[in-house]
Amino acid sequence: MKNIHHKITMVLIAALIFGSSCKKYLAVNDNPNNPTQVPVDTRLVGAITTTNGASMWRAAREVAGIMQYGATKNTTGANKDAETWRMTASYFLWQNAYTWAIPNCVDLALLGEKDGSPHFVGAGKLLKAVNFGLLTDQYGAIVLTDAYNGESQVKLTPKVDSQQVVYQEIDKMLDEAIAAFSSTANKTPLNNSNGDIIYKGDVEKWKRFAWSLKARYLNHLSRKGSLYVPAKIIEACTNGFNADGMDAEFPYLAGGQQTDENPWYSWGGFTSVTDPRYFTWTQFFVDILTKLPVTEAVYQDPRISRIMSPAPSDSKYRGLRSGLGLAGGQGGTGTFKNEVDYGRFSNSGFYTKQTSPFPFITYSEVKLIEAEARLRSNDITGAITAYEQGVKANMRKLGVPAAEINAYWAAQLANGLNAHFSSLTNGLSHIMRQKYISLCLNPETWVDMRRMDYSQQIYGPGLQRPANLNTVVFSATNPNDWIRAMVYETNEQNRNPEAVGDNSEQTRLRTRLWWDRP
Amino acid sequence: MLPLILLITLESDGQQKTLTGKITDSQDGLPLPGVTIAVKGTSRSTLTDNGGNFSITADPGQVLIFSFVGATPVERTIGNEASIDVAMEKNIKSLSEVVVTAFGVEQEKRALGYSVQEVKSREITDSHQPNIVNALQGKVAGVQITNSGGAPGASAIMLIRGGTSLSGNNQPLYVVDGIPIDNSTPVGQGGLSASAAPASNRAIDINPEDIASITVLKGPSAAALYGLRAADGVVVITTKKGGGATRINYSNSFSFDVVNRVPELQSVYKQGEQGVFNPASTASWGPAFQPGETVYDNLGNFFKTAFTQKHDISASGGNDRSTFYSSASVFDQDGIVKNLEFKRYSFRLAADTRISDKLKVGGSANYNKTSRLYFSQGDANGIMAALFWPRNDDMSNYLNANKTQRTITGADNPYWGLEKKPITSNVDRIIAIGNIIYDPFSFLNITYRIGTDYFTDNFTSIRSAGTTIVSEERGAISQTSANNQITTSTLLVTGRKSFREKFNFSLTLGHNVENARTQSVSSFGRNFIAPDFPNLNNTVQSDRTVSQFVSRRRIVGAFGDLNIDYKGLAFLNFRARNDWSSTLPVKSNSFFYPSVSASVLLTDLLKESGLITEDIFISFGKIRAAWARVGKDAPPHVLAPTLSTATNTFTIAPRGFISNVNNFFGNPDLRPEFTNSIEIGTDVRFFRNRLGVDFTYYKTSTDDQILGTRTPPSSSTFLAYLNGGQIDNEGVELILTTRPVVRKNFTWSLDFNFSRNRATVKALPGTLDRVELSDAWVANNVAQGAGFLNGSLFGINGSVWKRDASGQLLLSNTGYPQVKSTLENIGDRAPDWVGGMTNTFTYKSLSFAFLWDIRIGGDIFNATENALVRSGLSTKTLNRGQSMVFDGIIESTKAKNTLSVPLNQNYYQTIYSSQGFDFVEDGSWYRLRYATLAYSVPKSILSRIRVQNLQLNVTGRNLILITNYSGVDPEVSGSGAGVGGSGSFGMDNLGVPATRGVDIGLRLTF
Repeated sequence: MKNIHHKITMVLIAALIFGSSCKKYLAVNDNPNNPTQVPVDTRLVGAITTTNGASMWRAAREVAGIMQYGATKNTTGANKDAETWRMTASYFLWQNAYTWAIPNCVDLALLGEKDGSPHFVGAGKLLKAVNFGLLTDQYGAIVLTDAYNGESQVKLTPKVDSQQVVYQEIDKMLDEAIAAFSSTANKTPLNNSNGDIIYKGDVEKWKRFAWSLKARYLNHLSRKGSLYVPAKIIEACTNGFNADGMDAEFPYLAGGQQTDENPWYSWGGFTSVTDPRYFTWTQFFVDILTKLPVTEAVYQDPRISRIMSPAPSDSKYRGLRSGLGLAGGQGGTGTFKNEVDYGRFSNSGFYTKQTSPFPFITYSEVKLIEAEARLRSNDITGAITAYEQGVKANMRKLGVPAAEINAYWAAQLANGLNAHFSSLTNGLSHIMRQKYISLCLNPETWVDMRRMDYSQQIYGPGLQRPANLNTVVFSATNPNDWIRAMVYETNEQNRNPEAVGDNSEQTRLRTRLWWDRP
Repeated sequence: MLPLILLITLESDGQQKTLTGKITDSQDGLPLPGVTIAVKGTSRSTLTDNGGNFSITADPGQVLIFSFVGATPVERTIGNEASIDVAMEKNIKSLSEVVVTAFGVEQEKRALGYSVQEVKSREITDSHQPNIVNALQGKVAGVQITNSGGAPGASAIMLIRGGTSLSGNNQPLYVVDGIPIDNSTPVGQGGLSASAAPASNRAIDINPEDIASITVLKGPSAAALYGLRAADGVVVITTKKGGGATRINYSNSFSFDVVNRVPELQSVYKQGEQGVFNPASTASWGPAFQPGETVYDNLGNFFKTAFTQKHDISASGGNDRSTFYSSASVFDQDGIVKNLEFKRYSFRLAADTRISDKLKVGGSANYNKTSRLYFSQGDANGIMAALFWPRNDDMSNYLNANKTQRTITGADNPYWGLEKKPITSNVDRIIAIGNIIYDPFSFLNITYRIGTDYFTDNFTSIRSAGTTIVSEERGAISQTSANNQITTSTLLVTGRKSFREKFNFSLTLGHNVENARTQSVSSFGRNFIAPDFPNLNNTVQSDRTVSQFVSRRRIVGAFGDLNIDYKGLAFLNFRARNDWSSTLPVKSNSFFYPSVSASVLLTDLLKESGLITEDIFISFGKIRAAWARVGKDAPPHVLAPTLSTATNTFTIAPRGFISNVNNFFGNPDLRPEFTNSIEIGTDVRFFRNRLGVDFTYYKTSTDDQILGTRTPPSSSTFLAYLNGGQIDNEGVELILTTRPVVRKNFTWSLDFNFSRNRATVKALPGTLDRVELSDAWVANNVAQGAGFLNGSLFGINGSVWKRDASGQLLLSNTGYPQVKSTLENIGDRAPDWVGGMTNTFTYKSLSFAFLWDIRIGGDIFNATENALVRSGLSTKTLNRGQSMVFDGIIESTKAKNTLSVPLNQNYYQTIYSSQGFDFVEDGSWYRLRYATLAYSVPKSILSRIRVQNLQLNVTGRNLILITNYSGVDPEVSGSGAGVGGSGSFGMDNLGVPATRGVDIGLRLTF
């Protein structure tokens, strides 16, 4: 029996020794494949790339057809769905912004806070505002206060906030970003690991970027009565971009992976030679670039050759009518039905080359926002001055020589520009048509078009609802029945149904967003 | 291995004489080792050695009791003789069957409080299945086995009593000689999706000829001792051991297989679009064939007869101290399509030796080499695109004059693929086990076992230059080299004690450590510089990517197992286990789970109490009940969200670290999940055991699951781990064993098994109403496997027509149905019942056995037919050109539809094939799984040629299949066994169809 006791004692001792090493033995669960945290400065580039490439690009990809910049070639297949307003719950800006983009911006701000580097807090909050801004301007009520915060666990049923709340939050985020950029106590410089691919660490420009966005979102409230305060917009514009060379834009690369290239040129559906996502530009855009506002006097904007390529057949600029495809001919007239009658959309000019940058917001846009705010507050002279600066800045950006710019401006003046600005509608027509050109392919144009109620008085007679319209949803006969918002995505509808509510296309595509209602 | 824990040798107290003797099997005359010889009325007993010899001291006039598990006990009164030889009769269906339950420990089946079922070597080899999982098809109640298809090396899915996990693995744990082995099935190797290149399940590496028996432990109560990995049941494999005289066995078989069923194709319309012939079209929407035009049987010509050969040789033997068993095998199988191939070589050595009366050591080493050559499937670029090749074109003409691929725009010619797009997987695997058994006292046994299962898998997929695959036109290669290892250490200490010969106690305390590790490196390269040399080195650096993956999991367990029995008539068992897992947060990584089971032998109890006598209608009756709980940990490395530097080909390159959207969002608050189960059952035998009924009812509930679920995108991720959700499984199992005829020269036994299981999703986290499985998408995302809240775990999530609240079709302005944007539950892949019926006839040296495998109910999603509809070769499209008025309302006007619309290519390609519900079919089957005829050459002839045993056999597999399913053999799984949760069985998606065939072979023993 003694022997047994001895053995039992041995076993117990062994168990004790084992117990203490057990913890160590089991400590093998740290992820060996991917890090869970990296230094704050190495997160900036990812927040910028995804805010552009996952969010802004996805917000523009289909909307470029709705805004009638690009037109498809075929009247069959899926490419035509966007320009004919066949938008469904399979439109995926939502998931791309929430999963690929926003968490990186949130993490950036959090890590900046922990690191004692408020400049990263500023960049994180600014980029977050860009994402939420893109989302709310297409969906209205969105998940914001319940969205990823970098600290709590995944929420299975995030609730949505009204657009009014979202707008307050965006304005707050931008104020906080401005305050953070103003901080002098910053530990890690923004461009510490060459991640600031927008401004190479120039914090002053980041601050002006934040002010510029603030101006954009305040200006969206033009139908909201007392919430629209021109003075605040003008103040934001003053603090925003004030010279050339400041534009916040995304620099695409050549020579890397295919997804480093500009998607309008490449991976965004443009590698197909036979049926690219957009085949050519619309006649509507060609009209805007070949006619002056209000009078519709013919004058070829020198920017047309910087943005578009002429037809290979005869070097003329032509476009298609949205929804009619190549078969509809130029502007739907039935003439010019050959591919060679049109310059291509992709690889055609300033916006769709392999390494064309994609602007978030530009100096030109800021000046045109200022022009609208001044016009709406009856500062006509100030409005014209800002307008001139906005137009010329964009022309310089596109490389138009001074002589051509001056000639263009002289033609505008000769056509009665100053007199036009004494009418709000005519002034807005000038501003919005210039914004349409200056914000080429930017989803912000869709906000303007809705704020302007898709008015032909503003955009000219060329603006019409597309042919082959989605009449299951939209009235076939009422020309004022325009697309107003997007359908929430299937994944959200299925997995978070209470928050999404009525997601039918009839409701979602036709209901005006909060800022779109008086 | 014999249970040495039973070895009780007590010193004699002198005066008596020593008797010796030899115990043999009455049937084959072979010596019986391990027979207990006890002197009646005393505590004196001994065991026979490996040669069946024994020696015991006793007085004349005393009675010796010879008992052996599985044999009728024999009593002999001692006279004057010095030796006693006894031939013991083994029961065919003995009441005292033993089964291996936990850690290689044999237990008497009658003592168990839960249902287990054992399949013997003979039944396994009779089935002629290279994959041991398939060898169990139709034989075990409560088990549903689905082979993925007819490609050699295809994975087999085993579901025991349904499934307990919504998103994780529902496959049982496989244990060989007490050591858990890897039966994983890789999902998406080398960047190829599971539906394109489903891998093998790794139990396929095991040579079925090495197996002595397989015991299936069905519920968690049977499995509690194996710990958390046993929540879905355990397949306990016991390998053959040596012993007795030296024997050499050789067996072979030669098999011929053909495709079992193929879908019917239309032969009326030829290639083209919109009724117009177009030689560049991939589809058959052209004009009708003219009389006299050749209609090629491209599909039929694509298949051939597959030939397989198998050779097994083994040597075994031993003496009174040691045993050995060694084997080698070659298995070489080719497929019903050219170049498909599966090869397996195995070597095995097992030996043990008794160092002293109290100490025995043993071990085994097993080396397998498995290689597989296969091809991508599941879409137009896969080999089963042969199904929808236009029939006016000879597909076998796959090369142009300049040796480039001859194909039709858009997809590769399947024949070209067979030469130029090989997928290979080469596995080298070693399973090594060592054990020490020490019996310091008659009442105490200490067993220690350590084993490791290590394998490397070298996977290569080549797409040669000239393929039509987008972005790989100049060729591409994907390679993955993976190392996997599971090492397990187990210590068992067992004590036994009896009180007043009435109560017997045995207590086992155990300790268990499991260390699992997987490491892989994957590389990809494209654009071969020299087109004809498909190799990673033949690409420029910027066209190559490489990535690595590591996974580690460690589990430490401690457990106790207490058995109490009363005179062998009533049994009570308590078990408890605590596991510590590396995969859970430290605060919740320790978890405890108990189980209790009991059984009472009613007939024996009544006999014991004298209420009934021996010879009555009911010869045996037992009732049993069990309650068990088993815990489960999380997958490795999921406790924190991670960062990554990759997106995908349609989202911008991130140029740095971003949140990892391609992976599950980690959760630091995970808790262990638990499965609770109850089981009651009865085992009643009538007419001297010639009729047996074994019935079990069970219910399991797994709640607060560790669930990898889909989340709304606004949560910042698509996939996240969390605790939540509940699955209940409820079912019954019935086993009938009969021996209608038992004569001297002729016996007939007839066994049935039936089972029914309902796996219901009772709760899901948040407002989720389904758990979707993206690995099981088919038919251009028209349908996928999914579990539905308050519905089946094995549902089908598919597209449906858009309807209003009253169910009316909402039609487009042109009068066609429209597809709804959200998917619905359109089918249940779980069968209502599964069953098997085995008949065995033995007449003298001739035996004939056949197994009917029955599956009633269970939907199949026919994605193959969907692809045929799109291509225009489906017979469903023969009404093209006709018009119809869809019964519904025009959505935009709410007016009753009156528009007559043509059923044309546009309708079939873009509308009809975009819905899923019309491709759901009943997958019920009755199949003659196998029929085998064996003839043993009589011993009288054999003795002249010094051969112990010679058996000739011929087997037919799948010779009869009765089903209403319209497509291929309904035994299908689109993405193989690797898909967790709801799985991909019942998804028919352009895979190599199942086969039927014959095997002829012989077994020879020297």
